[in-house]
Amino acid sequence: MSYSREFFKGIIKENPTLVGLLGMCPTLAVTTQAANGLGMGLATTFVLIGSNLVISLLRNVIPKSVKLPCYIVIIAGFVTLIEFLMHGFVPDLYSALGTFLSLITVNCIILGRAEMFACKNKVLPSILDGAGMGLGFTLSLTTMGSIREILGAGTWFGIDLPGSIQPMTFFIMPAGGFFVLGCVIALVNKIAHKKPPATLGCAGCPNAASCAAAKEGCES
Amino acid sequence: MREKIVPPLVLMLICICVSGLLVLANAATKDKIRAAQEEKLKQSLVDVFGEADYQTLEQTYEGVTQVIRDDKNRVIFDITVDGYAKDGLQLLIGIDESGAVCGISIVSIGETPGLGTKVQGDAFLEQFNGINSAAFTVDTITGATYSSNGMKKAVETVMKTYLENKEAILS
Repeated sequence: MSYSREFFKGIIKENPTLVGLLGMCPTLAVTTQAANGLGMGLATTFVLIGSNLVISLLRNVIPKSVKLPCYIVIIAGFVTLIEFLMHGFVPDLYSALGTFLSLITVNCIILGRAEMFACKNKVLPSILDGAGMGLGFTLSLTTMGSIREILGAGTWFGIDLPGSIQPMTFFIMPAGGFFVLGCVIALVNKIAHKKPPATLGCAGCPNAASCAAAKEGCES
Repeated sequence: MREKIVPPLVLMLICICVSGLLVLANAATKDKIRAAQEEKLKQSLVDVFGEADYQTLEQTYEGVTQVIRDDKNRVIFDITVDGYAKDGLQLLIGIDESGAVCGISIVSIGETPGLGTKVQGDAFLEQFNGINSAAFTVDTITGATYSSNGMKKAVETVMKTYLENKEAILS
């Protein structure tokens, strides 16, 4: 198993947002500004690395019947910690992210990685997996935020762009979020040369490699 | 029997550990958070009303978060109202010694960027200066109707509270 593969797969090939289509709620809601997207992405990355690390350490301790409640408690612990830190040290970002910060707890990327990867793998690959997935999430959110902020408000990270076009408020609104998301997903699929599978099946799923059902030869 | 006892026990232990660690984290960041909040409020106060000796009144009034009085008989109301977003506008509204609005500072704004956030513009905020009763008219901003109405509602509430409790606040 190559460690660099575990890290880099999250950035484009198995990007949680743009290929896995997970975590759509924060992707659409907080990306009205590039800085918010970056902050949300980094906060999620922190939680993802922390929860992957702890869950991987405890993977032989946690009994199967209570694994979901255990994962949620661990994830919620990290989310509360990052909330304290942000409130104290970056209060502006804290108020900009608002409710979405607490909602990191139920971000399906984090629970997805815990269930899919951390509970079956050793500590180091789990940390790399968390970091890679988090970075992929951060990159997609920052890209989305940049596009929406530049086109919708004429600024980038709050800096006025000289000689910019008349801002189109549409891009700041929810509809513009869906539009930008669609365009970015199309672009990533083009770059990754991903074609729709001829027959639908688990082979076309980006998580096929780590999915137990796919290995057993699932049909539909 | 074993599989009935062990899983809940592990879950309980994990919960206790996580809660314990969070108690420590809370203790470590509590002061920092309070300092950040106070700093933000004080910064907003100084921006609009200049350096003065500010005192927060213990008495609270309906619809107003807190009332702050300074040494020149000016009163500043800290109020949070709904704009387009619930509790989207947190404002400091100052009333001078003659009972007229002398300045509005926006502490935090959760409105739609590019639309609702237009209420931060000077042209809109200046309309409120000099208002001394709860009945007034100001021009609403196109595309920011809810946010403008939220601002109006805030000034209305503040004027009403001020006129009804003037003596209690100033004494």
